[in-house]
Amino acid sequence: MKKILLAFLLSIGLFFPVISTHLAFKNAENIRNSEIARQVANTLTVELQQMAQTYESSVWVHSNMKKLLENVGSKNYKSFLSRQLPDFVRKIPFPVEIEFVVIDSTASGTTHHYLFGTELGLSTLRSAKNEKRCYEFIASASGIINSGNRSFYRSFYKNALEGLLFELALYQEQSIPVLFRRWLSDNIYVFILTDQKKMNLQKNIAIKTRFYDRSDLGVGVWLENARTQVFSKFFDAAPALKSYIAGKLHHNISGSWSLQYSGHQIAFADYDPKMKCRFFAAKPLPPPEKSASHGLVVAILGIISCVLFKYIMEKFFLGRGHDFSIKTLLPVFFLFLIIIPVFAATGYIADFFSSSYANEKKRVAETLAEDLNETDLQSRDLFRGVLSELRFFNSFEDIGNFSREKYSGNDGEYLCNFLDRFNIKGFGGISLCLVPFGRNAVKTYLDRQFNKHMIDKVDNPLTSMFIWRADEMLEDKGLAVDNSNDNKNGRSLRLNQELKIELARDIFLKTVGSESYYRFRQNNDPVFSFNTKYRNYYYLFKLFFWKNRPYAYLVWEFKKGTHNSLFPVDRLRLLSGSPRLAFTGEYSYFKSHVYNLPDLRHKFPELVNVGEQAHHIRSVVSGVTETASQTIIMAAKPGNFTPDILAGSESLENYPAFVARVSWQAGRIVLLLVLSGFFIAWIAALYFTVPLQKLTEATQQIYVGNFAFRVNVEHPDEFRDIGNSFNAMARSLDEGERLKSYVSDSVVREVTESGDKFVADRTEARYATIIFSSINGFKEFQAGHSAAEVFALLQTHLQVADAAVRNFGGEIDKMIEDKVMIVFEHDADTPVVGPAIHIARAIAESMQAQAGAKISIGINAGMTIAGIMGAETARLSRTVVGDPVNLAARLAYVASQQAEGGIVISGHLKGFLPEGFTAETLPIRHVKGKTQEVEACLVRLSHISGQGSA
Amino acid sequence: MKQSRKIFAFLFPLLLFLLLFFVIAEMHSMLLREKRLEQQRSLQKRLQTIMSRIQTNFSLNLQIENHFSKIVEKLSSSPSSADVKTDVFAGLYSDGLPEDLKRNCRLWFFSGTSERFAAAENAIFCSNKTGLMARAFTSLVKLARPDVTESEIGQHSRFLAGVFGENSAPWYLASERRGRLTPVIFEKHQHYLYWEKFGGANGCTSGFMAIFPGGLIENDRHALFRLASMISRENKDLFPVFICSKNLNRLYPPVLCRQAEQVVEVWQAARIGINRFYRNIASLKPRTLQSINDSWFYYDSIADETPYFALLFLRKHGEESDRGFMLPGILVGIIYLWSAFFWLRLADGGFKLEFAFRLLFFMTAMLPVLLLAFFGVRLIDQLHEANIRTRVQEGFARLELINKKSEDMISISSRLVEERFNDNQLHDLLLSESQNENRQGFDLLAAKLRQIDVSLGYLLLMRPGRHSQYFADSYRNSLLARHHLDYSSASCYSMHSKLTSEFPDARQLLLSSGQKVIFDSFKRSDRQMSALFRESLQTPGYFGESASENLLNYSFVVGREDWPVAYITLGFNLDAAAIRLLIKEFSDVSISADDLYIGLHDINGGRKILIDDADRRIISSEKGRCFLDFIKSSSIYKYQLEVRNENEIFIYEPLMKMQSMSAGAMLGIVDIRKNRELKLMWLAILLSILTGMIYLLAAWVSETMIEPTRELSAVFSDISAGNFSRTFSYSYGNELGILADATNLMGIGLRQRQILGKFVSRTFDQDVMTGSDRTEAQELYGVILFSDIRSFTTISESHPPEITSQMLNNHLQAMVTEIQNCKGQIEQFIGDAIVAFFPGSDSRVCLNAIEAAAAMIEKHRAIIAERASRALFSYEIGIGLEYGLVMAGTLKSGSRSEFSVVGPARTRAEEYEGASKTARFTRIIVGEALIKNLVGSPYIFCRHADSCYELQSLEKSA
Repeated sequence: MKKILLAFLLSIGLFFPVISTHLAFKNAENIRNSEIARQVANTLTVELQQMAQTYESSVWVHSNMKKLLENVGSKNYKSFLSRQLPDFVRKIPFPVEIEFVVIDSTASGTTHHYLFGTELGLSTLRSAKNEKRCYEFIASASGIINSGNRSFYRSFYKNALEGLLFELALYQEQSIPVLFRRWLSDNIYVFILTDQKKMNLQKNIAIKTRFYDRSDLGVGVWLENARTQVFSKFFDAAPALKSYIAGKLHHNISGSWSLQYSGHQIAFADYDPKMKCRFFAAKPLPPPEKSASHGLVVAILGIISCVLFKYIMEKFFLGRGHDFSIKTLLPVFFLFLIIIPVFAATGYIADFFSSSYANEKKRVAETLAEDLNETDLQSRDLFRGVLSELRFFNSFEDIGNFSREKYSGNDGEYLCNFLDRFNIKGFGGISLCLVPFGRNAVKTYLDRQFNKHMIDKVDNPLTSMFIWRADEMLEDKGLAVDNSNDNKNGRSLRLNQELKIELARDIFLKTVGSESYYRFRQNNDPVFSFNTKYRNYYYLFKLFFWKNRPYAYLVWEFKKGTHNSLFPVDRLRLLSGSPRLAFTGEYSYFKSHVYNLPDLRHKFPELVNVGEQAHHIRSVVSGVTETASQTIIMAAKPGNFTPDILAGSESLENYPAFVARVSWQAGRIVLLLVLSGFFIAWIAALYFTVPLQKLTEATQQIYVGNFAFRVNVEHPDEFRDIGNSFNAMARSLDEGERLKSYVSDSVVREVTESGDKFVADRTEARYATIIFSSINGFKEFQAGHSAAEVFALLQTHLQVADAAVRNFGGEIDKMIEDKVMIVFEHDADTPVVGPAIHIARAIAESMQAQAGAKISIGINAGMTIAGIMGAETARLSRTVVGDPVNLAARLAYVASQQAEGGIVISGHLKGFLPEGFTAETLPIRHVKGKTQEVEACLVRLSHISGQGSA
Repeated sequence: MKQSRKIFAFLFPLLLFLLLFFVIAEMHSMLLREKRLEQQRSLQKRLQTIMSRIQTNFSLNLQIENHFSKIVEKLSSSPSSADVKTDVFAGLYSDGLPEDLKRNCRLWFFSGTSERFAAAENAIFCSNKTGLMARAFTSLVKLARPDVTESEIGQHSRFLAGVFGENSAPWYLASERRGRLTPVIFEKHQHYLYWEKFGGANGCTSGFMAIFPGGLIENDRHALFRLASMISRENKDLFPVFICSKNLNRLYPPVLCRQAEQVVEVWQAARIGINRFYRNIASLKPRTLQSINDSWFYYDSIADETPYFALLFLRKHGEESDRGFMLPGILVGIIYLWSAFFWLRLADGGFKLEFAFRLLFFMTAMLPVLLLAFFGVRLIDQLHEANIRTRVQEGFARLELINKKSEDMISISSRLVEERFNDNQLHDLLLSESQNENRQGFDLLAAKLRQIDVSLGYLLLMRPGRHSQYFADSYRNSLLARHHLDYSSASCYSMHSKLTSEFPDARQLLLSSGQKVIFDSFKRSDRQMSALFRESLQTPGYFGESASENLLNYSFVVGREDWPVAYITLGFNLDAAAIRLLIKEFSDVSISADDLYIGLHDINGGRKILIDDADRRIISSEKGRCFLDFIKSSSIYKYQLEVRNENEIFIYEPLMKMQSMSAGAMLGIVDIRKNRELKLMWLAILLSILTGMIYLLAAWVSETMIEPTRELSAVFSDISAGNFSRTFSYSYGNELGILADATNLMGIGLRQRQILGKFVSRTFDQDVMTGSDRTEAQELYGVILFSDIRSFTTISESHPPEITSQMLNNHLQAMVTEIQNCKGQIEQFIGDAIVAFFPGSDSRVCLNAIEAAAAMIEKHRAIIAERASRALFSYEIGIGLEYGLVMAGTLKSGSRSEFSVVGPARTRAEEYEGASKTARFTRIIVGEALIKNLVGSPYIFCRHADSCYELQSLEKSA
């Protein structure tokens, strides 16, 4: 169960990256496609809105004509007139008449008139009735040309024509506005008349739609009156789409909706009840791009996952396959754990990008809008600053302090001088009106022609309104001017005035409107604006003092909209990333604040276009353009407090760049994470595997016999115990190894072979040849020598025996005091006398040579009991026991009885003596502990006689 | 080097923890930063709202108007609105108007029919001049009626002018100043009048007039002071300061509220702020949140009408400053805890690997999970934000669309008007000499326009050679028409005379005296004069102050035979159409969602009419009132505004294309918020699943890879304790597998060692264990015990070896046990003989040896008896004991080593054993040396031979 759960978890983990990557790609694709679709839909909506706007003919002509005329000069106008213009005129969705007036630049100064379009009245100008006036104009114009003053002629001609046209318009049954008038060069003048009135609205729409000239986008309209659709040229190439849309339009569905058909995005606008039509537009969607990397990446991941899955499942359930070391597995596993959340995140990454980019974009757009608003507000602040400065002047004394001139009594001149000095920041539109009580009012204003302040004596009914108002106010404040001197004729004057004032009040009230009227009636310095079609003024009224007595009413009047200086110019900038511009101008006149317009057009063509559009329609216009790496958000809006158009753009990296940057950032983090995770895992794995490895290494060392090897036990974890145990084991093994030499080879063999079985109880009857070698006179030696000396002797004995055993076979069974017992075990009943004799001889000779000790050796052979004997739990011994052993010992004793020691063998071994040895039977029949007779033979070397007994 | 793993084990989790900690801290601080930014933004919004409140309430008349309009609103929303009771109004009035204003207010409440009103009596109403005021109120009500006749106008205007002064413009006072504070001369002094009526359209039943002294209303500083006090009363942490630029200080001293000094820190910041403001205003950016001395500072100018700036000072709420202090604290705490835990564990036998790895795995894998969590939260926030922004943008887009539609409406309407106007029959009627026919023409046009939702207000007819005329649909419009006509005539006159200057016989327009005055007043700027008419030829536009009238003007020139014979200006009203359009648009968008769209029509500069759909349910709720307040306070604002609440967003759009209209929407964002919460929940679930999964996998990994170490450890300790049957089974071929194999091999080796150990004397075993290769002999004192089986040779001869060896093994086993019981060491087996050694030089050792020998004999007897019972052969043993010096040592020779104990004691012991053959009692022969060394023995010995004794009895003597 646990296994299945784990397998399930693992397989989730394994296939998770594939799935999430696939989903992430899919998601990104969807987002991209929907973004494209949205953009297309947006374009369509914008287009539809523009279509639905009753196209201001003036805007249309302005924007198109300007573009068209940009390159027309005095040289190439003929080709323009013959080719481009007729084409253009055909496209204009309303009747226009265009006249090109070309003045011959040669001396004669004759004019040529080129007329295009419908006849709207320019020819009437030349009709009999007006011929006279027209010719008068031309004649006078020619006269001036001849005099050589071309610029004056130009302005004259312009004004004259303008006037003429204006009048012409009035002569018509319906007005024909002049749409456009402009000097193209020194000698070409263009103007365009239009007549929209004769056009039926629907026909207008139909024409406009039909001549819609974007090739990447089609628009159409369904006209209710005509019960038909009009399609733009775009649809000519797609009849299927056309019929599809036509089919859709039969249903009278309300509301706007959009749909997709055969790779086109189609948008239908709501039915327009005023125009009785319904617009629609279609744009082909770009084919959804399928990224090649998608399939590849997913496939690679899939293959990796499948391979891993196969491997893991095989390992898991069947136990097959290669085992990896923990050192690799741990980091891999770590990586696996780390990667799951990382891949979990990838599924969301596209969403993240799109939403954060959208937020970023909107934020930038909002910032831009706020910044433009702030500019607008700052222009208001500047204006309020000016108002505050004006409020400062409360009396002649205040003015005197400022202008350093004493009031002389001549109001007009005094104020004139003051204003000349004051002239705040070139705030040209300001004029000042002083309405003294009981005297004539004066007004100063700036004469633009001479750039000088002029004085005007004002005596109109409006001023009496001020005076009455002042009387009322002063009376209320208890500051009434004492005019008792005038009491005599005061009453009649007053009555006379009252009539005038009645009229003045009426005019005043109607002129300024009731709101301003009542504000004017407030006793504290009222401020109000005065906005009408023909007047756009701002007033500040102040009660004005002289010598602490109310002297006059001071009226600051300034015209809004003519001042340029009140614009916060320091906010304008040309930074390419976020330019801020302001455009100003009137209906057909467009220029830039501070900067030169042609330069701007060159530098920020789109932004200027947007600004111009906003200028024409006096409304917020925004736009977005994409460059290779940036998205530029543009906005232009008319100011609320300034007559200018504020325009600006902010750029931010475009979506691919944003994605690239953010994914690079995120990728770095993820990479860092994965790497650091891997590193951590690696280190952790090392932490775990290094001691394991050390341990393995150690076991291997021990395996090859290096029992002295020890492991480090300074561990903070289980490895301490393991190490301790291991070291204990190694020590034991080391001991065991040492012990091996303390026991006979057959013991070692027995133990190694026995395996798990118990070693004891393995006794058997075996034939063995036993050699006992003892040192002659050991007891005496022992008594007379130190332990070290004794042991040195014993050591020599053992070494000698060992060397002999090695040379001739057999094994040292044990040492009993000074006696070395050597055993040859053999299966057959054939004693190995030869080697035994050689061993004995070797021992005897070596001992003689090395220690000068005489050796007595007894050799016997026979059936013995061989095996392990002793206490099973405590002490064991592997040995041979039996009569032959005892006899051998006795024989050794017998040998020691000989003077020289020597080798004594049992009688029955005589026949087995090797070449060169002879046996001499000793006269001993009985041996201690033996009931039977024993034949003991002393072995001698035959060829060197006497050697044995020597 | 040896400690390196410890250090590592100590540091590594700490490092990992630090990493995690910093990741979390970084995320947290990032979120905090964003939150702080968000807070600042909302703070700025809040200050902006307060600022707009200041801007709409900076003068006392605005404040009073607001108070009264609230009272009126409450009255009209109460169920008894048709018939307002005196006491209800009195209650609302005394609650609604602040005390200081009430003191200065004289208020009369009237009720009655539309023909006649009488002042009501109540303690808080003014009781003076009730008759006069009742009449004045009646006059106002009558003048305000749409069907007022001209004679009535004269009568009532004269009366009102008598009461409120000649310049009070009674007709406007009645028609436009209802609900507005209007300056009048009352009792020969400047006063301000507010009047309002309640009731249905046909007959109003009640109303009131309030009069305030002019000096109070016009005292702007007092108004600002009131405002400042009110604001700082409502916002404890904030107070406004009103100051001018420095050079205006003499005329307009600063205004501060009394509460200002109470908030000390803000007050100090304010002093600094004011100083900076005076010194250099350019250094302070208006309308942005700025920090001065632990306070926020925000300022803006108030209005054109006042030179004052409003400076807002807001106390900073000391947040998140202590967080910086907490971080190291947590860190140090964690380090301490970890250290304590680590050392405790270490002292307690070590730190569990498995635990460590689980922790490690988990912590490492949580790193990306945390990042994922962070990323997820960010994503959800971003989506949330994007959704909200999209909704807001949609809202704005709708409002903008409405705005745009209204513009379309103007241009389309004008075109439609023109289409209707181009009608010869109409022209004939209008150009007719008969006034009646002209009037018919007007009516005809009005009827035609009514079809297209346009109400024709007036028509101005200016014909050369005649006086200009006007036709209007109502008296109100006729006044406007007359006013417009005066200007229009002057304008047409100027234009026509210019046009016809070449034609001396042309007829000119005739001007009335008033028109002449206007013409004279403006003739200096005659270009403008003629433009007045000319421009309305091209585009529809407004005449006069835009806010006061909503009549669009559009002009035509009617020509006959190429002469202009008539100049006609139409004044038509699109308001009805516009409002209908707005209502339609609003209800279209409002029906579907929780969103509510309403519009506000600002008429006459101050009064606001609410445009909404019929359902006032939402508007009357708390939320709706909030929304309304927002719209109303925003209406002076000329930009889009947006305020975000928890459940809804208020947006405001000034409909710039529509005259004096603005609109707002309340957009519900509950679904977006819910969506966000749902997403957060999903994220939490995902994360917990992920965490669980990671934990499970980590546990599994540590189980398969780390857990075996514990088993390994157990196996190791078992083996080293001697349990060799224990093997380590591990099925994978990795490091552990190799180790397992190696370990199992070692187990075998160890077993061998254990067995081998048994072949070697214990005395020397120690040497082997200590590993010292001592070659020189040791001299030791002790007792040597030598035991042998009598005539073993004979026995082995006469019995088969199996039997012999079995006997021998049994014997040895028994003897070894006895010897070992008495602390003797088996030195050697020599065939059937046992050589044992009892190390030590005191008598205790000797006694032990003797006891061992006695035990051996006893044991032997028992064995013999037992053997006898099984009919096995018996055997005899003998034991020899001697105390003395022995030489013990290791003898080495290449591959073969041997222990040896030699010495006289051993030899003697062997001899004594041999002598035991002749023993009489116990066959235990003890050497003399031993007897000598034996002190106070409980055993009895008897002399056996030279220098040896025999143990007389196995029993200890008592």
